[in-house]
Amino acid sequence: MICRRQVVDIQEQMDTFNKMNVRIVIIGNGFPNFIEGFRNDTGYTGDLFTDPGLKSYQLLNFKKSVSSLLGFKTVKTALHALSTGYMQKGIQGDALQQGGVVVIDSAGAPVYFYANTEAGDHAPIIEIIQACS
Amino acid sequence: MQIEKKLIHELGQLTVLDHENNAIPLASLWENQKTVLIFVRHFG
Repeated sequence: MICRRQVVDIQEQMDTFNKMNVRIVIIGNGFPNFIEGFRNDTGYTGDLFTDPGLKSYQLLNFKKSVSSLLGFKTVKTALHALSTGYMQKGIQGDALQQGGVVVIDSAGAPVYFYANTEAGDHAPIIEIIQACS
Repeated sequence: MQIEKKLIHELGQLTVLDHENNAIPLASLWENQKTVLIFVRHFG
């Protein structure tokens, strides 16, 4: 229900990121053969990779827990996602793994970091744009 | 929460897979321009 909505938000701002000469990369954690299906489902046109071993998620210390799936925000976001037509279909990847956002400049320095606290929580798109400008 | 450049360096040593199962070094993704990495929960 949830990460799909985030991807659509990102896709809607793709022109903005292109104008700022910012590269958008989405990393998932399912099998590589699910990448094209994800692209078709979301309409996402940017770079798309996967880390099925979750090594990058672990290094960045993104949460992995059952309780992170059950918070208040999850319910709220699920209702919003439902009302806007973005309900979760089959899960491809680790359902307990949370994600986040890192913005990195070309010198390899982090300029923004956001770790999702629970399902449905993700970095506000406006914060990502501000970090890029 | 903030993270250090050292951690980004370590992150850059890791690889991700493209749709053809090719391993791509993460550092190669941001070497030419500012890059937003969005780690999603799953492909669901």
